Amino acid sequence: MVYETEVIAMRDVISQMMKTSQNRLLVNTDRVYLAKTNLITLKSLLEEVGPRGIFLSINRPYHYMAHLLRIHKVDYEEMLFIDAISKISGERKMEWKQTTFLDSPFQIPKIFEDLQLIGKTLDGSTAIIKIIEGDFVMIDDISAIFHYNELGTGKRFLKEFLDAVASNPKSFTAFAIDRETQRDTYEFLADHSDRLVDMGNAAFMEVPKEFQEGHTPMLPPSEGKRGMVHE
Amino acid sequence: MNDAIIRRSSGTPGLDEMISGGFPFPSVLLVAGSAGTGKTTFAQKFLFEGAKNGEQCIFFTTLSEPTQWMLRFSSQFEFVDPEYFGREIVYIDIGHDIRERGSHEILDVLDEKIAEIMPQRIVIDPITIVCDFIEDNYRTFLFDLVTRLKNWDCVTVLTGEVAPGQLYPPEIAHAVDGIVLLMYSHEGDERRKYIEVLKMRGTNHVTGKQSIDITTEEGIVVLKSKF
Repeated sequence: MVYETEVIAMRDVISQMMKTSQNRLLVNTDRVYLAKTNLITLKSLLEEVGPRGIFLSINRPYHYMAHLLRIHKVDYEEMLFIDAISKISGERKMEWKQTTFLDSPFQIPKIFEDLQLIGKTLDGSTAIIKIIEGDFVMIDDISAIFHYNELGTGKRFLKEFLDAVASNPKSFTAFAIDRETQRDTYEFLADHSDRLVDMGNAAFMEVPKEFQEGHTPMLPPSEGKRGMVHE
Repeated sequence: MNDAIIRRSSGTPGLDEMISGGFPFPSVLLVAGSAGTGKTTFAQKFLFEGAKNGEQCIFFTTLSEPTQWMLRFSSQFEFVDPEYFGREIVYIDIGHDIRERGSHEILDVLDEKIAEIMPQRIVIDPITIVCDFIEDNYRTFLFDLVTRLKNWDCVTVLTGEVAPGQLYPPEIAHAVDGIVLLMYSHEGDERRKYIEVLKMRGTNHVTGKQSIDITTEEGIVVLKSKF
């Protein structure tokens, strides 16, 4: 299985977090490796946290991630996809029973207001799903929220969402973002996350002890191809 | 919140300076020119530049040209490192698929290979041959192809063969994010080669023709910089 080394390392971090009631993971990755990092993160969440995840697509239609999961033999039968981009993307592939399509990404803060949404269940019927009752929630890509929503609205949504996850120790969330190009968003998310992982170019390595203190990463040169973990 | 456009080097010396530092990521670009202008050389250098930086790359050939022949001709260039083949650069022949399958199946073949390898850079060389084999709407195929390639989160170079005197294949031009022209003109007894950036979305770029040379060390090199 590809990326197995990275998945094992990521699962180890998630496992450690769950033992200490931490449930908000922030992953730094080079933007060009975002898709790969998201696949590794999602696979780790499915295997370590549980199968009933919610995957919110903002940057590209959900079926790209579904296709990746299929090709890489990851079981996602119990996952729910919320697709906020397909209807404005020009894509014509939009049918799947586990998917709820939003009209546009402008709606995201609104639908998350009560931290619940109408979703299609596996048998095709609709049901109200409480976000924080799923095993995990993953957003791809979180920085895209700011393409479609004002800064204040986006930040308010993220804070409320992350606070809600923190208040429910049974849930888990993880975001991948490029710290170099999205520094403001990264810093904001870092302030509201329990643990930071640095994936570099999607390779993963435990951070040396001296780098583990504090939230603000003391990073080696950014051209480093290795990843780190920050608590 | 900042949202800078990510750029990846084209690999062609002098070109990045003409396009604000490199190709936008993700994007789909057309490199067009008539026979012998250096399209495949340009595309190969683009992939080797990525491979050198640890990126994963796919070279889709539509010509059914065996890898050995491609390697035989390209190995004259010093930037071609055979060590990358089969590792950072995966060479895939889709000539048979193009001849035997419909447009949806071709897209599915590409999707499957891309999802499996998850590249940061892709080349399809040449894309123009596909129109000879697709019976249904070629423009719809191109639109779907470009949309999918962008959503696969990578930079794709499509090479387009044109007849002498033609600048670019118009049916592709509207769908892509950028167009780079490679051309030559006869000036006296000499045949001079040029590059021109016709379009590059989200990018301040130098306009007008720039002289180029093709060297064994670097492939295409932009010679005269008016920027």
